[in-house]
Amino acid sequence: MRFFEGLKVVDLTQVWIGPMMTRILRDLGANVIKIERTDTPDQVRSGFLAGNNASGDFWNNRSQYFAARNAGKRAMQLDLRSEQGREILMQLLEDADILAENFTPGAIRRMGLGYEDLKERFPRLVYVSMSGYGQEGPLAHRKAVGMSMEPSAGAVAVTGYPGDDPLKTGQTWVDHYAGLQACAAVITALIYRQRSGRGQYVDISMQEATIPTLGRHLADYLLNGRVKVGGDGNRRPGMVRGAYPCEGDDNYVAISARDEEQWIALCGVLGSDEWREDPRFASADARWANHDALDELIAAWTSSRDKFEVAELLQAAGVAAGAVLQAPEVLADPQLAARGFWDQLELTGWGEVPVQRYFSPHIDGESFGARGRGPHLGEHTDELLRELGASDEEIAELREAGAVVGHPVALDNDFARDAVTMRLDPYIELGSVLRVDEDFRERVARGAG
Amino acid sequence: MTDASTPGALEGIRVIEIASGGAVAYAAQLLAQSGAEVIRIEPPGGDAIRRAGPFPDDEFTLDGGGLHRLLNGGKRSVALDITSEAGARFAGKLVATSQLVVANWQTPAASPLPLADSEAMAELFPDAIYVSISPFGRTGPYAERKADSLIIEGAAGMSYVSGKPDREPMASGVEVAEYYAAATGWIAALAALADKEAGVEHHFVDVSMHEALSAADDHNLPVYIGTGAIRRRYYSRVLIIYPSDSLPVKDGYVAFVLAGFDVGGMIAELIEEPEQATNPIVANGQERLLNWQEFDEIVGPWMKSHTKAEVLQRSDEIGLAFADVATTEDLVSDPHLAERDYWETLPDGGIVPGPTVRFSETPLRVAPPPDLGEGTAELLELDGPAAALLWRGEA
Repeated sequence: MRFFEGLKVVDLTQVWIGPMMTRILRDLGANVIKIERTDTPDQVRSGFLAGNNASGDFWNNRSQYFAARNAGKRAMQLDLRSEQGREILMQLLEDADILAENFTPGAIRRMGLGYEDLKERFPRLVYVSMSGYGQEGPLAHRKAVGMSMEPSAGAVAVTGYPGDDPLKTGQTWVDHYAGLQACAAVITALIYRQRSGRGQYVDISMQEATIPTLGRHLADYLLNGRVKVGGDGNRRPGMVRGAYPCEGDDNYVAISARDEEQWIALCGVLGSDEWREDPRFASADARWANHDALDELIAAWTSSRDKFEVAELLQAAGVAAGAVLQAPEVLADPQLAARGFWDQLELTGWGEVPVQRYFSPHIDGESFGARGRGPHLGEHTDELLRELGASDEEIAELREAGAVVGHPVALDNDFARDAVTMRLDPYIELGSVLRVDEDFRERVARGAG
Repeated sequence: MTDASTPGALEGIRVIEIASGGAVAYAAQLLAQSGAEVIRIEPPGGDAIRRAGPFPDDEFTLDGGGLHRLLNGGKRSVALDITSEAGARFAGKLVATSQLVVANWQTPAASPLPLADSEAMAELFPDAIYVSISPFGRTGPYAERKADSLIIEGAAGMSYVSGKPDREPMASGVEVAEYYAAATGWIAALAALADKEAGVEHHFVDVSMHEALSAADDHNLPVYIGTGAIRRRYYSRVLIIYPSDSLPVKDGYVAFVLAGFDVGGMIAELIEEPEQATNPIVANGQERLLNWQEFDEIVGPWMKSHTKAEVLQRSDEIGLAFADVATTEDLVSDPHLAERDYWETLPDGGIVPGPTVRFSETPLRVAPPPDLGEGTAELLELDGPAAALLWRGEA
């Protein structure tokens, strides 16, 4: 990817949407400089630490969660509230191509670093802001995280078991989805700049980016005024679709027979041609009306079988099916392994762990892995200052003044504290953890090796 | 509709979409919104998107279906049977004039147009970047497998952690894998086009829906990799945070999402019971999580005696990250989105979502979808009767 080589990204983002976006640019070849505040580092540095962090070091690449979002970047700490800190940022922007930020809307403008403040001086800059509700409008200042955006973009209202209350998915997915859109927007702006010489401003609202995913539910309201509250679970009108129990500990297979042809094939595999004669299942509408009864019959067949074997049998017959995977099974998945989806990256004091690729497409046989491990806090501060021409004395002065480095605050926020002190036994008792594998490190090494 | 006087970032780029599912269609629509000329080659009887509901008043129509309006805006339509020799030949003529082709290599396998053979495509169309978006990609042991979002959500580890503990794993109500694949395909297409501007030619871009969604892991993998704990569905909650889902209020649901440092104090202020600020079941994260029924009994009555609007106003004042569990109706009438001019009205009076990302210089343009085959004669430079023959598969 020659286009991205030499591009410089000044990355003020933290947590998820922004860092995942700039990691894609990094994996494609850009030079990404991750800038963190001197008092509060990116909070996900301390999220889900390997080994529950026996070391007491929360900040220096101890978490796969952090590594996935920041692999290969260079990190520096900068106090953007100080005059000197802002001046260093200006120097970094002199030859930068992209500035990315996801502060609460308004915060960066109050620091005098909004697009309007910079565009005259840096006319070629592509400046991207990412937020929950966008930069303007009555809700622009509402606090937003991924968990609040899945509901506010409408996805939760249409999710849930049939006849039950709305229920979100167990994977907060809007950050990442909106981050992909932000990345596409940045590349689009770069293509336009290549042609016109002009940079521009990009405003990403996670809510607006996500609303079109409502698809048929949105269309049904726009065309027919019907409002959906509550989901169809795994079912879809016209299809035979569900997750069915298999043998073993909490195992399921997902089956999706989309049309008459796949329904007939499904009956063939399950050895129940009499289902085809059954008036309850004689048409797509009838199957939809009697889905409960059909699910019981399918479950009776699947429950004594291995989920991978059921999936294979159905796929061989042309029916979409697949095992519902638990985390270690995802790491051991043969398809992901064959495609080279995992990079092995070093976590400090722990060893190598698999990290997923954020830019997964293969282009002419080439694929795009991480360009390095997650950076330590402020690891490249001096290196980057030297690149700006600062002498050792000047660097020492900046440190003395607190403009470039500080002391991370203690873990006095709920999220960070709980992530660090995670005791696992209560979760097993509660039911939110299936089990804890004693030999997980070997399993991880074997699975994604 | 959006103002057409502003420049499109991708003006001058011609994209051929071979109709093959929602992810391909949405990726192509996003390129069209940036000013690329997108020509959609569809089967003469219409493709699955045109045939999928919902339809206005539940009456089937090839040109007015709901998904068609949401996925095919701003494109031209050429109706061709690419499984026939003549259809494939004409499709090839169009591809030869394009810079980019978007398709799913699996669809349709029987075409003389060698969509399943990327090397043959590169030889036939050396100047076009071929972007394939398929369930598992073009290589690997699952390449030939079929999958929709349900199967992919299961394979990516998302279903297993979604749903109630005593029920089966649950899929999202939106086809999340399709949209992830579309957005990933959009990025990949743009990256290849950007490289073309830098003088580097690419021929085959292989996008896997499976990988696109697997990349989006939240905390299943870090928890297992770091501790060996296998996260399981438990009302779809974040493992270490409660509340992280929705609670009922007087007139619907509100997402109860925490923010800030003094969580106990904020919740106590919300429910107007200051003495709860130091109650461990309110203030301590793990206590709240393990004794969530007790927590619900503390906050539930206040929530249920207030409306969405009242709850959200108060949570905004306090600085929590609560959110509306918005229905489609709520969104279409939402004052915030209205002030941002999000919704767009098409010439026929119908409403569709506006741009998903906002550019200051090259705003995305939203436009109506094409009638089936409206561009067949013009774009293939055929007269009406010849186009009709082609359409009927008799050319």
